[in-house]
Amino acid sequence: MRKAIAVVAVLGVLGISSQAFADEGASATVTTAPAKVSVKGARKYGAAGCGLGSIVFGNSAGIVQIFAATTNATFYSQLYGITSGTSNCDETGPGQDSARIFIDANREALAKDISRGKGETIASLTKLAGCSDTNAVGMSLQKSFRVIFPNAAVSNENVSDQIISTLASDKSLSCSL
Amino acid sequence: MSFSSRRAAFLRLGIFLSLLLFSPRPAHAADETATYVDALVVKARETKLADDPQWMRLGHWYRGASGDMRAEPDAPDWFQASNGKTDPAAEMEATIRAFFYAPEPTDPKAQHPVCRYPARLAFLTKKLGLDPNRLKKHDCKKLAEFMQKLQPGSATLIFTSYYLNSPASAFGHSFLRINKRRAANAANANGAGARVGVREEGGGDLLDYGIDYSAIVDTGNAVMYAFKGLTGLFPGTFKAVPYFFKVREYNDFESRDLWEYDLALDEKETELLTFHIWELGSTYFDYYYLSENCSYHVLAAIETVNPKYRLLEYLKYPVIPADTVKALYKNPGLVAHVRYRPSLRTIFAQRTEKMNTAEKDAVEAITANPDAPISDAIQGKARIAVIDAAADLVDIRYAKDLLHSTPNSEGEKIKQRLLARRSEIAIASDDPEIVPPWRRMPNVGHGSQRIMLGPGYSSQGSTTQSGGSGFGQLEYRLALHDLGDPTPGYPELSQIEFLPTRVRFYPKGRAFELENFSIVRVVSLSPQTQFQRSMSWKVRAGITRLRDSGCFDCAAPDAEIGVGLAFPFAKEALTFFFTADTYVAGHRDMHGIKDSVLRAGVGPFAGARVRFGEDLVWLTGGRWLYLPLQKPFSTWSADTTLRWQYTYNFALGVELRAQPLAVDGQIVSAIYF
Repeated sequence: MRKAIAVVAVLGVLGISSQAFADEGASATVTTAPAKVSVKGARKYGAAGCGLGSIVFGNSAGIVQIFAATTNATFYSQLYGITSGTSNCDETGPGQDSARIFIDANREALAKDISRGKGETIASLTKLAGCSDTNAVGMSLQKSFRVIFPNAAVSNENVSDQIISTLASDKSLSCSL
Repeated sequence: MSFSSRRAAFLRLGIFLSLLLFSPRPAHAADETATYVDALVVKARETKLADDPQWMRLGHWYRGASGDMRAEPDAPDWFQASNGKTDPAAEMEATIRAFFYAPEPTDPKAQHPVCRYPARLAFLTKKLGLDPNRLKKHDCKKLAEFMQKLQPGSATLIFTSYYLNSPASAFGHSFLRINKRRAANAANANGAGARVGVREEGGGDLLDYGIDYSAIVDTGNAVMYAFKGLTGLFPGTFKAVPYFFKVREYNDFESRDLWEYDLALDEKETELLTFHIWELGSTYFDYYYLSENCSYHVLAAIETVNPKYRLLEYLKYPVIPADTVKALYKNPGLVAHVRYRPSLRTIFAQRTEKMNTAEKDAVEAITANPDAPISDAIQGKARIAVIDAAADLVDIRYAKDLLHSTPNSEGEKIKQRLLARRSEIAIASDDPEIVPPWRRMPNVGHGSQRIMLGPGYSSQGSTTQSGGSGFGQLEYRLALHDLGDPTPGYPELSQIEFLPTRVRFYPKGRAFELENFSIVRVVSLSPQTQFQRSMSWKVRAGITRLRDSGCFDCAAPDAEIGVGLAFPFAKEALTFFFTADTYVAGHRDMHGIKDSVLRAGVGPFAGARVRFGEDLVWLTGGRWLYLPLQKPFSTWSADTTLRWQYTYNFALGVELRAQPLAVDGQIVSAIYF
């Protein structure tokens, strides 16, 4: 039903301002929270960093998201302009910073893959962390699942710390972190 | 005087004259650079290089309907010449001069033209013979970083499929991916490539960059948003985002399949494309939803890399993302490979498809309660499969919680316990076997516009004459697809139409009449399955010719909305659907509520859709409406259509429609284009 209402909105029947929705995406302040390894605890969990919610749905209000997508607009944070190059969330080269960004953005998919001991996100992480064998990385992370994800409230940052220390401490993986 | 010295003197004279004529700077004979630059400018002029199609594309100049030249980029400072937006030749000369003469910018955010226009530089190097070694050295740090990040090796056009159930994805979307250079034999080194349809570089493409053209939205007001978007008041810019954000957004959060069309661009062309994207990074375009939209500018960028590619000319108004994919195919060989990236829902459906009832029940049980026991009968791989499917189902059901990784939300809690349970079985999961649904590929779909023509017979005829009458009917639809249209390339159970309009001509009364018209007509059927309980819905607004005793032969402006359930059989080849509808209409001849001109009704709708094979679709439905405080107190309508696609983009059909005071039938011939 909500969907249907949304479409009615598309028809232009809706004249009200959607200010009420505006809070939903008020977390686009990625600039102020660089995803640097050293800034422990400086980031508020879920409100910044490179998580999917804060990046993808940036600062657009709920109803606008619907409009945007029906009309083929997307609404990434402007920080992703081509020439600005300072978004802090778009490093994909090998290294620990990139690995943390990747973990932040892919947390939900990665959690599943880790529990399964296998998956595309593990393969990507293997590349970023410079490990040799994605299957071995998968098994090692799966074994450490409860350490990496001890509960449903653990922060992305702790998840990253634990993944990286798991990879670094398992010498058989020969990761370069 | 020998011949050669005479020639040299002549050349000097020529240069001297050209300096006098063309250079705004005082001429210093000793200034070698000036000589060189001026010679380049002269050569550019003499060879009319600015008319080169590639230059026209690099600046995005197009000749408008009135014959004047205009460039699409809208940032005034993007052009080096003051009249660069309308004069490609002036812009070329100004660019050449800027390459050599522009001072190094003092503002660290600004770039020297050499760094800002790498694609123009590459073009002038190749076509004009500009020697880049004669340029001053510039430290193009940002450009170098960008190129280092992207490491352009190849390019892919990505189509994100329609998913009407979130109205958000109605028409699809398209964007580019620049793939990093990969070592020739690195493929499959890392395992995860086993999944059919997924790139074989072992998770590598997640680390490539998606290049997206989109509007910068500065309003939360829906009306302002629509207005600004249609009138080009939002600026649109190119953005580069790691592909994993795209995959998470589209595949997971919105559950849309992605179709990836690898382009047969070589490394040089890909580099030029990346250079050009960099150039476009320092300008913006006024964003128009229906024309200069995401799909349009992405194609325009691809076109710049080689004059032989012809893409934009295959686009129509409005620009529909699927048309961009079809435009690729108009260039034989441009699409090297098609890959399919299944959405979360697709993967989940695949995981559960072969399960037995007990296993399916177990999936549902542990999704509701992650600690629920799993029957001992389900062991080994089957047990793993059950838990893996449940984890996907949690992601689908609690997408919002998980989008923001909301701590301690219900979704996170269930998922946490499920995954912990899964991790205790120290065996790696098998990748679900995904067979790409090739018949859903957007490029095999029928054209986005439709014309339907045909004769018919109405038991009531036109307003100007009563009694039965034949008629000729013409329908035009701007976009896109209805449930009766040929199914390849489109979702099975979604309909979205813009501006379908039917007019009839009754020869007997010599009357042209509007039969019906819709601004928009959307039907989204979500099949009820064991795991999916989403509502189906529909919405429409426009004009309908009513033929009942409350309003006889009135073309009444109306709107309707319905919500209900759909039940699929035989892999959705047969679907029944039921909705509860609300209907409003107004007309001056209406016997409406309390003798007003307004009709309002509520009532049930029931329908069925049957697809026989791929080519034949039968769609039927009927509705009864209760009209409170109105006379008559009820009305009804029913219609049925049978449409047969006999060849690509052509179909034949019969349609019957009944209302209390009229029955009409027609034969239609449909052309999609």
